[in-house]
Amino acid sequence: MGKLRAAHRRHSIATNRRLLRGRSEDAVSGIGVFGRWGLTTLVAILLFGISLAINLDSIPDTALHPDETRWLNRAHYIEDFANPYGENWQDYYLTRGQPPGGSYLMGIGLWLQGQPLDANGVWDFHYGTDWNRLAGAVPDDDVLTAGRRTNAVVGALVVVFTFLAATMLTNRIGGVVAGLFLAYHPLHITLSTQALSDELLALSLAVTFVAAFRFAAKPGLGSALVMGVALGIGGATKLAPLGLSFVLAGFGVLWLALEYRKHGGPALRWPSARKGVLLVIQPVISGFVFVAMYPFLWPSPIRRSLDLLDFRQTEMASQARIWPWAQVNNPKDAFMRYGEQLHDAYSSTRHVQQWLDRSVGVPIPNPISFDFIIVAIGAILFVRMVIQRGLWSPHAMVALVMAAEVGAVTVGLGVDFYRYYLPILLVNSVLVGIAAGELSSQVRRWLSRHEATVGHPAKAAPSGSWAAGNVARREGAS
Amino acid sequence: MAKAVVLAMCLVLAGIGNGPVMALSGASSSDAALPQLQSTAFPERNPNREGSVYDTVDVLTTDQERSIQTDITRASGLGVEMLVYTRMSEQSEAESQIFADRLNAEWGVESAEGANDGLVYLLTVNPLDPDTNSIVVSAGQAALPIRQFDDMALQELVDTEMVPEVVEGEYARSFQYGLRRVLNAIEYSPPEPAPPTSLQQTLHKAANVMGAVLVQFAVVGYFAISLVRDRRFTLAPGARSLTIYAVILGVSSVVVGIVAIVGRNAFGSLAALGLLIVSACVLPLLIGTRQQREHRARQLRVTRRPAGRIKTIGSTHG
Repeated sequence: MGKLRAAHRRHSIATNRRLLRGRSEDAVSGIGVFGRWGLTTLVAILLFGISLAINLDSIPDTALHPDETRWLNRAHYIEDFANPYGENWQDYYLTRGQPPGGSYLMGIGLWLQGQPLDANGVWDFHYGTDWNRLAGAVPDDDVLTAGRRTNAVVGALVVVFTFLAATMLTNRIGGVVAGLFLAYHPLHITLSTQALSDELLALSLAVTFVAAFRFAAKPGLGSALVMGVALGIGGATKLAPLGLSFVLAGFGVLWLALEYRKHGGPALRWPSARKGVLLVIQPVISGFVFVAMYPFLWPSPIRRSLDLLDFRQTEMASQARIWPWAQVNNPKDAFMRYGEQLHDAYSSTRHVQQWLDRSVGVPIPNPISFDFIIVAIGAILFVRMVIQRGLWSPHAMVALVMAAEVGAVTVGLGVDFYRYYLPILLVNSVLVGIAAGELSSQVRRWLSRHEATVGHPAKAAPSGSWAAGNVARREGAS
Repeated sequence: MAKAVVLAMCLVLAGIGNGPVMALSGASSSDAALPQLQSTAFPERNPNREGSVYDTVDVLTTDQERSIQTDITRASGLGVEMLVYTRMSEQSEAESQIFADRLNAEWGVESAEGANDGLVYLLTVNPLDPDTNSIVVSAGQAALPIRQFDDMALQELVDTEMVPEVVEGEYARSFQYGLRRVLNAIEYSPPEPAPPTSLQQTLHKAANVMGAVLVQFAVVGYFAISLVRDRRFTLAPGARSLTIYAVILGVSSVVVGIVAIVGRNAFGSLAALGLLIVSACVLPLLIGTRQQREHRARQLRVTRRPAGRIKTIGSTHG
């Protein structure tokens, strides 16, 4: 016990010294806060602007999807939250059909843009567009556009958090490439220009990636709360992220077990056990947020949550029955569909080539997709990074969350609907960023070595130290 | 329209245009080139006939009949029996309502024997005076309300959506409105919340009081705990006082929340939820910051003290 305390004291003193040294160095060099965060913030704002511009520009070209009317129809949930035992939170098809996260988002978006929250009725999928239009299930153009604009903003935020995640995992170049890859991806553009809930899910996942990295680098209540709350909001949007919190809890149990084996009983006491405990309580945090956001669950949180899961599975099976072409039979089939959807049907690299051909005038007669090649390279490099840095590194933590999400989608994918692939696309974007970031690091190292060997020691030294400093910072974060 | 003119001519030629009820037999236009007139007797239901669409006037196309039958089958699957009937008559709307009620009762339009919960849609076409064409809906005694679709909603549906379509001559559309609005109510409208039990009523009142007390404690307790512990008033209590405050607030919020949820009390539930979030998320962060600050202050005191001693010792020796 005494040894552990002493170790903690030594660690905290060393950390304080490092921080003080960093501060004084920054003050001397004049970099300050701006140098550290300013450039990252500027790039993030730039990426946000690019993505938002692309999304807003594409809104008029996106065709109406009946699901949009459903999310807009339930926008009044944000108002109904003030009356949690009112009629709209009773047990019936709409409350059981979808958790309310996306509806809240639409409600807030419509309210901010001065649109009514009860603009349209419920779209009945038994009938076509003509009847539903006649029955008032299709919202006015103003309302639809307001809902889509809301999602355009959320989509741009997803790009920003993807940039941050990839920057943390590699470097800023990797982050920028990841952000641009996602911003220009046709599937992301489509989903950011429809009034749906999938972008909110992607945002909660991207925030979780960033928070997971921060948490593993410096376990603290703040990042643990952000992680749990993000997963809870994700769960209140599409249920699946709730499963990730249990994966994190399992990771925490493993950490505690290994620490216990190494140090015995004292390892399980606060604050030594902080990291493990904060991981173990992730399902509690996310579950609390999930239930808190969903008044339908309040009277009986566990039973109704199970009913909800059951209902979602029935719905998925019924969708697979109605659209047999879309049925996904097993995880292998799901993986094949990823290739079809995220490489053939929607592709960032092909989209960029088409854009070059159309807008810039660079003739590319047969644009081809090589998204998955870059993704595969990124995945290999990421695995290598995790192996190099170890199981408890921030990289491993993010890899775990990403793998768990991909696994959840792969196992749960019953129907091949384009929007279900967004979480996979998010992971792909980060992997693309890792590939680009690692490549840029290699090039930088090669250049600095090259400069040193051709006889410019004066120039080579700062360049080398800058690169080494970057690596050291990353290692330090690890 | 042409059909109606031909029918009118037939009736005039037959010289029975002044009869109280005129109905045509046959379910579809393929039965005869010209419609045959039927007696004024109340029709008997053929138990061997499939389907619930009786277009005796033949104002609906085969596709329209099929579509209406699909809706009726869907409603039946959801527990509501429906029947659509068209007839030719110069009876008033009130008389048509009586006819529809009789159809509902005598043809057994119900989900189970004696349930009396069916809906009958009756279109009455008067070729001699098309302005008196009418559509009425007969609801069994136990048919309404369907969720929040009650008698008033039904009357509004008939007046604002079904009748205007009949006036326009869009009979199929009129039936679509009538059937699909009810289907929409069955499937997509929320049920009325169950009336509270006596225990819930009691807890509802208790939750109001407890919620109010909790909110007051949240404000007063923040200052009161440090006042009692440290004997001083401060806007920034220490980490220890804040921890005590957070624990009391968190536990109280959970208790009030449970009472409010059981008592279906919105104020109590929302107050408890908000304060639970404060105690579980905001306060721990505040406590952490406060602890860090106190820790740093202690460290600074520790690092300054030896420096002072060295100086003192040095000066003594010097």
